[in-house]
Amino acid sequence: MTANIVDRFSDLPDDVLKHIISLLSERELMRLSILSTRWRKVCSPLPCLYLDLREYESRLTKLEVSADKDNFVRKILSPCETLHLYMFRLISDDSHWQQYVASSITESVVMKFSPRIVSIDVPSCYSHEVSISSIFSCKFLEELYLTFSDCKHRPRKHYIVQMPRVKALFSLRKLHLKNATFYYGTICRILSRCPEIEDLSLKSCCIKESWILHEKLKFLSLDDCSIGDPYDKSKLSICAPSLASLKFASSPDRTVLMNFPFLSYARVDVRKEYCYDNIFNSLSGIQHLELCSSNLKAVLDKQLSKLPRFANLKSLSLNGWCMACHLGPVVWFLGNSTNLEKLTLCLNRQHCLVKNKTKENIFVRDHPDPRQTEVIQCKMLKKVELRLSISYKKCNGPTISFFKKVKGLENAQFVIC
Amino acid sequence: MARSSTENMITLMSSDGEEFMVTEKVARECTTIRNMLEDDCVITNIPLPNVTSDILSMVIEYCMEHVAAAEKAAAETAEKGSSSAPAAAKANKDLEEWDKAFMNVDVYTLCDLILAANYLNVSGLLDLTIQTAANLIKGKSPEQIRKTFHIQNDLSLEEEEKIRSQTPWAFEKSE
Repeated sequence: MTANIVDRFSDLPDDVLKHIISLLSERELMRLSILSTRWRKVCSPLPCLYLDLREYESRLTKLEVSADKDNFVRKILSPCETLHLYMFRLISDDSHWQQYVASSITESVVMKFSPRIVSIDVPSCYSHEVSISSIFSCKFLEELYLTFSDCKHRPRKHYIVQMPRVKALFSLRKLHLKNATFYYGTICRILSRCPEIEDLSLKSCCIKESWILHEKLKFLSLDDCSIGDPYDKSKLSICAPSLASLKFASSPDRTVLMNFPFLSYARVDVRKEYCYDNIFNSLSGIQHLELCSSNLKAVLDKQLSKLPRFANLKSLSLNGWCMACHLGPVVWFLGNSTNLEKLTLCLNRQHCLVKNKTKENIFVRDHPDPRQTEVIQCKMLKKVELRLSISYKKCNGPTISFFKKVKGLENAQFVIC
Repeated sequence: MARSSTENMITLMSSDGEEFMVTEKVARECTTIRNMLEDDCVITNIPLPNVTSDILSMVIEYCMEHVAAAEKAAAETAEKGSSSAPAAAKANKDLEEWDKAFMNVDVYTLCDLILAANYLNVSGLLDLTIQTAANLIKGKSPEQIRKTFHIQNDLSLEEEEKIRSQTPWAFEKSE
């Protein structure tokens, strides 16, 4: 077989490959450029400026006056003068000079070259506000990634995003922020100036805001964000009528989800200490649902009685917590989502240990409870996928025998991987 | 345009010696052959040493289909005096469907077709095959692209890591 595998594609003449490349997006070009040396040559690299200032630390400390630093900045930027810069990525840590240089480079780049993609990784104690707000006036910006990483010297968790003097960013489609704090009105203000934004992702952010409001937003991710002020009971309302995908791993009791008519995918990280009623009620029309939990014993099985019926649910993915709860959630979902077509269970070693602690074969003995299996009526269920980590493989017997006992699942295909 | 009832037939010979008889009109779809015919109009036998018989037969199939579609459209226009837009749109759609079905081939055949279309200079077929190849790349991760086209990765781990770390957003999983 291996002898047959010849790479005819890479052997095509250069002009043909260039023709193919001309039909692809810049992002796809980046992916092609790491296929092999041949493709690296064909996809001549796009004009990018990638600067990791940490590599220049020793050189920067040697330069004594700020005039030297400005010279250094000029030297770095001079090769870009003739290019139409496509993307700009900058990394800096919290040393004084790196921050200084980072700020002056950022300002020059966004003013002079207006790159399409900007990715800035600066410490959260970053003190040059002006350069961050200058990014928001970068005319042709399509994607913006701002990460505020930990400081070595002065501990400060978040960078506070000041209300930037945002000009309208007509082409911005993606905005990803990490470790930032927003005070009232900042996100609203930014979103109102970005009419075409589709993808908003906030990770480990502190959101003291009452609305996320946008007509065209399609992808929203709130990962590990703290919402509202600890001292009052303010809530964050999310109103995005075009939303198609939601990833939610933040405090649910402070979040109000409005109606999402086009939402088809949601991933919710269920945590023990919260009540998820309002979240699940807003998601009742969903087609693809992923529920995961890092706590082993998510208390969802206690809340099951309050859950809505997921009438449109087509695929469901649960990770190990459903096992720790004696498969109750699985049984509940099988009984209440009549259109379910695919069920995925991701199990790893931890859940195996729980099973052993609570003595052998807990599922088989406790489940299926005859009364419960009677209500299972997933006529549409075609595929049950068990994703097992290697160490779990030994004890998958009970799980499989559970599914074998469930009535109406005779036609389903079992895949173990 | 007046058409002669007896069209010139031309023999195309593939690299493995198989002969294909086609009408001059079909052969003229290939710009390379058209140029040869215009340089020397008595030529009737053209050897094509870069194209194998199975690929050549596919190229001819494509040319015949497109010539027939063009003729049909021209005949309809002549009949009615003017072409009706819905009929033309339907014919176009049919041809697109045919193209789509025609492109249902494996990666090797696709590469061979691209090479042949490039060599014979059949612009329609070249555009079609190249678009098909581009579609195979779209939305795939580098690993999937390598697998699809059997591309051997000869970059060192460090080199690959370096490129990835410089542009991490290009390698994010798409939704």
